[in-house]
Amino acid sequence: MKHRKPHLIFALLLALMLALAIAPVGAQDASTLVVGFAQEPDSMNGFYSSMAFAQWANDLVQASLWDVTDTLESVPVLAVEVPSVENGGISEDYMSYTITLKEGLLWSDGEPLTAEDLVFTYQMIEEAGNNYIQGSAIADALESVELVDDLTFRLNFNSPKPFPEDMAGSPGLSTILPEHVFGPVFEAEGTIEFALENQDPTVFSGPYVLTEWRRGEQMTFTANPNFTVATPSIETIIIRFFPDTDSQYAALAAGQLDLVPNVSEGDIPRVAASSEDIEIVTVFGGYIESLWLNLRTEEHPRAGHPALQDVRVRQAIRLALNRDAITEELLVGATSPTDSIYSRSPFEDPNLGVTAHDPAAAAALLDEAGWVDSDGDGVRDKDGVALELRYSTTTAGWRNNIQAVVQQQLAEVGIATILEAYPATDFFGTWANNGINAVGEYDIAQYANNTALTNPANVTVVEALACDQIPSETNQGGQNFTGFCSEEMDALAQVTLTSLDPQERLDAAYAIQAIMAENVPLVNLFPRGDNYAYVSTRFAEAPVIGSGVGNMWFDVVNWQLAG
Amino acid sequence: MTKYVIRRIIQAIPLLLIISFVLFAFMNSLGDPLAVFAESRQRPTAAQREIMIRRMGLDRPLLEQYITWLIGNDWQQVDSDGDGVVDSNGTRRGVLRGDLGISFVTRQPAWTRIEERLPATLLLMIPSYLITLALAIAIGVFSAVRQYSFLDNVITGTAFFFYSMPIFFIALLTIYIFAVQFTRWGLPALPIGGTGNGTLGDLALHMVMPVFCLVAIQLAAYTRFIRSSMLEVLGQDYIRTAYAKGIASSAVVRQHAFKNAALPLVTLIGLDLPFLLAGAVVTERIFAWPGMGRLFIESFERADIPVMMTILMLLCVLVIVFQILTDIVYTWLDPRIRYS
Repeated sequence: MKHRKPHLIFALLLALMLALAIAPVGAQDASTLVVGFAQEPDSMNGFYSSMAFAQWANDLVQASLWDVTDTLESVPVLAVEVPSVENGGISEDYMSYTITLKEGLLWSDGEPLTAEDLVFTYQMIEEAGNNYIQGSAIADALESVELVDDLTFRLNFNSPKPFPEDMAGSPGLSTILPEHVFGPVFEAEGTIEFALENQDPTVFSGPYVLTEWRRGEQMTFTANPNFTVATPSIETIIIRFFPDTDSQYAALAAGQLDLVPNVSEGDIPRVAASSEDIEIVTVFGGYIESLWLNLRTEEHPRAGHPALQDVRVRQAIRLALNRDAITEELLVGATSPTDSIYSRSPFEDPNLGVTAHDPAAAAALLDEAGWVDSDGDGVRDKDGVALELRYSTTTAGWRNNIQAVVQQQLAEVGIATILEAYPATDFFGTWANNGINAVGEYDIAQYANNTALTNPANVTVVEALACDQIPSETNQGGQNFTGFCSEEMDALAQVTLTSLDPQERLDAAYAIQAIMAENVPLVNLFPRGDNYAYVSTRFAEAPVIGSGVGNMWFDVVNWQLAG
Repeated sequence: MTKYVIRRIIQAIPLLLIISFVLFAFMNSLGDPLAVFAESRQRPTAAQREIMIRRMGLDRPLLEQYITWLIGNDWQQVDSDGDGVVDSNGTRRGVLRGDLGISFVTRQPAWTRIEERLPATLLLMIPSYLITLALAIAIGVFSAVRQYSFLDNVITGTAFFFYSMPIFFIALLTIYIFAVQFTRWGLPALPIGGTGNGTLGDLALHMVMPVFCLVAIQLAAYTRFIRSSMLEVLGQDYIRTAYAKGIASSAVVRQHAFKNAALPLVTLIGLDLPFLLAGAVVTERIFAWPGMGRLFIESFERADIPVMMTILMLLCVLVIVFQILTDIVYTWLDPRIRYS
């Protein structure tokens, strides 16, 4: 018994200390915003990352010449104005841009931010030794970059460039490099690929500076006193990395996070229901979730199902799908079906409409195409071949839920599906690695692709559906995994890319939508928004959050936390 | 003994080489490091993807990639710009000369990425392991001494209750109760995610839930092991003799029974210790703990072969080292054991 007393006292003391130490952790102080990211940035140099989370972290510390707002308008940040033909910033032939910086701009270390930094940034884009994974559109287009004066620089292109946001503003040029930091590294090593500044940045141009990066855990940003464009009212922003969405949402519900970007549509109901203080904001996301059909023929490693060669079968698949049921029931109405690859962008044809769910019409089309259930097993067939399609996607849970619903809907018209889910590294793998999409190991593949942001040159059309992008032994890097080829659409895509007449570009975009609606190389399901969840009581007023395609923080200097 | 240790080390070399090749081949078949760009907002072009593949050495045959990983390529001319003409010496020195490769994801040396995660890993794993061991010894010995008593059944039952639950379930349940519900009830809630603000008190608070979960799922196995080991020893003649001599019960259990029953435990600990460095994949992920388990999974998702290989080879080496150490400790604990 005599031994137990000290133990008891020790235990009581420990319990008391713990009780005293436990503070209500939900309460953050009024000057700190805590944001949850599902992934950690892989680089803080925007030219070395394709990761949305890296771009979002970068946008907090690196200002653009101009930003894109939540309503897709361009607003100047470091530039005096967004260049246009009208204000003389863009030459009449669209072959050169002249951009002037605001006066008195500073890097966070107090060094002046001048046109020389911009010239250096463009020179670095042109240096092949840097091995950038971004900026190739600029490198391909740039003829020369000139320093006009301390505040002005000029870009000269090898062909007309009607879209300044691709060449100079956000998101085309989201990072401006400080010459006084990267210049000496480049001189010494001939590349900035391994510069310490890429991973441990010290000099910034944006409203915040990165003061601490605890790997795998969090980044701490504090207001940049040398950001002369505006003064942020929130002193500190902490980004915490939560790889598990369940615990991330729990932290939001417990008030330990104030803002979470990238909430998937399927998670919105439970996030919204987890606390009455949580608000969800959806802004233009730039992604369309689609069912891509494999139209490749036998000359390729794996041909798609022969039925998919018949446009009536493809149209029947679209008719058989009740996409409203998917968006309403699985995604709680967070989005709605679309037939347009330009959905929700300014280039969507308002007269295109959405194909209604009509299983009877689908069945009629399949009958007409000769696919009938001859053996009474519930699956249509033709010439001894069953209409059974391999339907693949990634292992993302919400996609697998959609797979199950689509399978049921297609079964109602006699189309059987074999559901397959692959890790993204296999699903999106390259030809050399036998990537599922690349080599065509599917009949229906579900994933998203970018749509147009501020111009109708749609990457899906230009790259993922172009005739010369069909992958093959001699074109292993090809990105047109459907095998669809329309020379008319390719020509229209060139018009969207190069025409200097906005109306002509828009007309071409409309014509592209008509071709796709008719030929159905893919069945668009729904546009995916960028969904942000935030704790409304933490903000003095609702924060204006930008599109993830542009800059989610474009208005961060005006965000105010509740006192 | 020295000869024995040297022999074991020499034997380990071919073993490590074989393991490294098998793992390397396996890692290379896991997926595509470039797949991550497929759905990114600004995708690299085909030309940029080719540069990346070449830079990562993935355009070379598997055996050549392995040899470069092992002994480097700075002794031979390579084609650095992909024009089909060898133009300059390679830059890799190889694992045998301390170059573990460059992370495909961050372009940092693979070892730097591991160094960043080691402290947090050990901070989570060592306390949870020590607590597990301490509790398991206490409960295991008690359960053996009071076999089939009411308390034995309750404790064993509880331990198995947690043992039979998946870790993610315990972890999310813990978060739901102690963070979310406590906040709703207006009680002081426990923090979720990370290691805190740098103070010891905050760190302790952040450790409560992950450590609890790790202890909860590991405890039953250790308890059961110690209990059965103790039961075996307690049935031996010399224990009966000790009791017959009138030695106090606690002294018999502590000095005579437990010391002998602990011998197999040393083997178990020796096997487990290297894996403390591996971290706890699920626990670290759910509690956003910046440990090695998470680094491995994140590297796996991006097919970051140099980082995965470094983690796996580090574990292989440690397993072999700890096996040898365990054998040495055995001779010290049980003087009857001799190696020749």
